[in-house]
Amino acid sequence: MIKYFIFVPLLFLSLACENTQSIDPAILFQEYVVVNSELNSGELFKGVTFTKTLPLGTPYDIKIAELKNVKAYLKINGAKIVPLHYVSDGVYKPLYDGLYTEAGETFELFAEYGETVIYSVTKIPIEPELRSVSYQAANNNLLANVTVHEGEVYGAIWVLGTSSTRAASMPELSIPDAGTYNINVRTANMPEEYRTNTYDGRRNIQVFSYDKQYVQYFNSIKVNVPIENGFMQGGGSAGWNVYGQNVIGMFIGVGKGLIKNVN
Amino acid sequence: MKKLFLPKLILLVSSILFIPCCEKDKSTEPSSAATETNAKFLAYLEDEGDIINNILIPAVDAPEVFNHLNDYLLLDVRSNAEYLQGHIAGSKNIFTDSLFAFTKKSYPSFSKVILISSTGQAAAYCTSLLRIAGVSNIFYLNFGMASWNEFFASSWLESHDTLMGDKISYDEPAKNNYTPLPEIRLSSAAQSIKDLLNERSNALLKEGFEENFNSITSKTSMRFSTWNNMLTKPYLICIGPLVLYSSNPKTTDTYHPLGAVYYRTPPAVSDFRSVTFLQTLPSDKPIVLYSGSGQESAFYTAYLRLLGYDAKSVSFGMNNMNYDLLLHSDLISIYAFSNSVIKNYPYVTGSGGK
Repeated sequence: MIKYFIFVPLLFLSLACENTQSIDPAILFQEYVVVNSELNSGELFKGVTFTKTLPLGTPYDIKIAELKNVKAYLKINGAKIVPLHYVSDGVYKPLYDGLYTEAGETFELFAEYGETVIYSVTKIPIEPELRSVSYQAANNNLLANVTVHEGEVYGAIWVLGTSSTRAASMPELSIPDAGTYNINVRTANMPEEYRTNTYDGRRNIQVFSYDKQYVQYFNSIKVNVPIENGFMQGGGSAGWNVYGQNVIGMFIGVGKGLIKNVN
Repeated sequence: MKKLFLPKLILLVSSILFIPCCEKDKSTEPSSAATETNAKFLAYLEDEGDIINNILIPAVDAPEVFNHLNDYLLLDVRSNAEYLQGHIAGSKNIFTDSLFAFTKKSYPSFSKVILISSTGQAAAYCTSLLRIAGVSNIFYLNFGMASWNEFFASSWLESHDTLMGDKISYDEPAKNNYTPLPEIRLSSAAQSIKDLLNERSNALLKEGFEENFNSITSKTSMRFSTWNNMLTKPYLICIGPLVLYSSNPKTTDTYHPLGAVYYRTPPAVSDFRSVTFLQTLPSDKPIVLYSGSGQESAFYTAYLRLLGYDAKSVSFGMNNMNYDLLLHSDLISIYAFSNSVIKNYPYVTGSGGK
């Protein structure tokens, strides 16, 4: 009986550890292919950027990071094929202008870089429909009530006056519960200095709608904040929606609302 | 019982230890990332310049050929029997099944290579395939041998008709919804998309373009009367200047065959581009193209067949459908085959060539 105790576990362990590799400190850096594209509802398709991550400590240079030999194409609504071609700085676009991303369309990205196969899919959200807006004095933030559409989440930023330099850089995200028809979307609290009467009439809100896949990415970078800019170097533990071996990035549909005055 | 239980327990525990160690992380595996050959094929054609969507129809008229007999390489793609009946002096009789290999060679002493067929339609079809395959200096003789001498002009002269008759429409139907590209596959011989292009071009050239226009079995062409009599009609599209589709210059009425849809071609922004309306062409039913002379539609038919579409060209185009309309507008009279097109240049009979 004792032979069972010795032989069988050893057998399994030896098989199980077949793929174990010792780590060579010299090859700790793992290069990732980085895919980046924001597809804005109702706008001209701006292209997809394919780059690679650089080792930490290496000054970021797009000429070093860009990938020039990617074979890529879009498939729109499961049918229309639009090949993408390298333009510059890692950006790939259709051969001709004229491709618009319309609300409700599904865009799939298929790409190959060497042996790496890349895939992503996103649905272009409808531009946010604002039912009402208000200023929440208690928290010094802005709120919009937005019509909910299936598969979308919403975010809002505050904008002071017409200047984008005085605006929240990251939207607060609101995720509708199933079956709801509208949702309150809040901005981050504005700095206290903007509470005074001086700024009355200059507080604006801009609401964005996102493909719901954005939630995972948003939560991971908002909560974990693994690195300053996940698209540039590293990769961290962000929730990307681009798939492939050692591939990171976002290929995401966004609906930009107009900047609306609140108070 | 206890004897059996212990080995089983060991096996169970070991298995539990074993499985997580060996299971690969599948979280980053793409769920549907198998890229499609037809998409890669389209991308390759665009990488190579998207020739068809960017050039004007590469036709040369008989006078130009006559004035450059020593500068141009003339390739007569008609049957040997037709060639022996009469051909341009110095032209070489070559069958379409060997055209691909022949024209892929370099001929530095000739500034242009001219394909010649009976009516120009077969030559236009072959020119399209060779242009796409990278032969940049190839052209076809406009209206074929019919423009060279009246001896060869009977097919064109007999084509004149007004078959469009009263089966016309004043409305412009919407284009089809977008549908997937036709399926094409890499063969065992084609190891790359470039190989696939060469293989498909060569195969279509070997298949040829039927200039016996009474044939009802042609894969590449169709008489308008045949289309007119079909109960289930293929998707009919008009290419060329808009006036060909939508204007009667005499009456300012607009009309075209019932159900016909208009697609722009160069010099306009081509509707056969990937970003425009290429995939509004149905991949699950035949497509019939008509144009001014049938040569232009043969040119684009070749491209669509290369992509896998079941496309055919209306023989003689508007010459057969509404000849009178062609004659009444300067904008489209260039498509009319008339006596002024026939140059009555000399020809030779029997064998011979450059």
